[in-house]
Amino acid sequence: MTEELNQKISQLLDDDLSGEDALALLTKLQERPELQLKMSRYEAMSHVLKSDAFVPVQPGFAQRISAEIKKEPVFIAARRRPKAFSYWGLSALAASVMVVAVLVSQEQHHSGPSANSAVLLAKTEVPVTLEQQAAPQSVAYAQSSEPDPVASRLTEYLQAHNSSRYIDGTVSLHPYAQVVSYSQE
Amino acid sequence: MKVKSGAGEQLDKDLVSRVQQGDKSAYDLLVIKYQYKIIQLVNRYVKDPSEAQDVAQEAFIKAYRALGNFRGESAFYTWLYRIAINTAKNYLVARSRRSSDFEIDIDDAEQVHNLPELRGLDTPEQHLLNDEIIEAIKTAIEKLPEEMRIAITLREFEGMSYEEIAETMDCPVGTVRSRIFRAREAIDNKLTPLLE
Repeated sequence: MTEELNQKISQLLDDDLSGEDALALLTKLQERPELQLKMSRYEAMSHVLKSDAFVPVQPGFAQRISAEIKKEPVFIAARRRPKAFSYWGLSALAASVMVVAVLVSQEQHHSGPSANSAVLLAKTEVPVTLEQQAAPQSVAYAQSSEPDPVASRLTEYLQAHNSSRYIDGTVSLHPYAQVVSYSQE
Repeated sequence: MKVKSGAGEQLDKDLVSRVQQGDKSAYDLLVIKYQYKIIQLVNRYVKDPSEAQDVAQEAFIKAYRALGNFRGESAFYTWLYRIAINTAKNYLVARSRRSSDFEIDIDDAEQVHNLPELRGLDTPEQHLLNDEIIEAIKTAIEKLPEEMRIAITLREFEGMSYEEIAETMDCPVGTVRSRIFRAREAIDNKLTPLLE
């Protein structure tokens, strides 16, 4: 058994063991310090042949380090933030917000300062497609008193992303989102 | 059994990954694997085997503390090697400042190992024992059977792989593996009594 382990030590030094065998051997070495000394002697003789210098290893060297490491705090690897998300994801989000802001701003500019025109804009009907004509219940839903869920979501979105307009809005030029919310009331 | 070259490096990566996830015992295995290499490396700078052990120990602990920043861009041993050299150089700088026997102004740690004052700190007894050990190892090699001597020589001096040695000696790889192991055992039998 020991002879077999000694041969594996010899192979480990020559990188002739598979990862699995090397791991099993190192675990054995951890349990049996005398095998660590055997490995050190094999390495020392190799070193002597190459450099004409002998360097001994004191028994218990690895165990002393192990004891020191036990005193250290346990390692918790820092979680890596995905780079693709942090750069491209945020850039895409910023670009989307900017596009929406520009569109909203242009819409207000073209529709004029009147609050009535904004209300009209909010009430503008979306062109009905052939599919929608074939499905009367959806048209009826659009004409009912209940708010259109798509319009509600759009309104919420615009309100959430139009805070500067609330602040900067002038007397004669109401922010679009504010006007829409008035119309819903 | 043919083992792909680099299996050892992959094992290191796996062990490092385990340490980074909080498994301290995986670091013990890395220490066992590299303890001799690091001690002999540090000893090249420190020139004192017992001090070399202390400095090597410090290097291993520093490496453990820095392992969170290790991203595997180089092999673990290359990274550890750099830490060990820096630790040894820092140690020499500190030792030269402490020393009252001689005053050396060291601005550049890179030059430390060239200073003659810092060499040869081992004792005459250590010197004598080392010479005896070196002689015993060389004599043991000379007395090996020819096949073993050739196999170990090709491995240690020429750095050949087992496959290359098998080709050179025209024998199976398993035979090479066995010859090298038996050569090491024969040398170890001569070496062990000197170390006790």
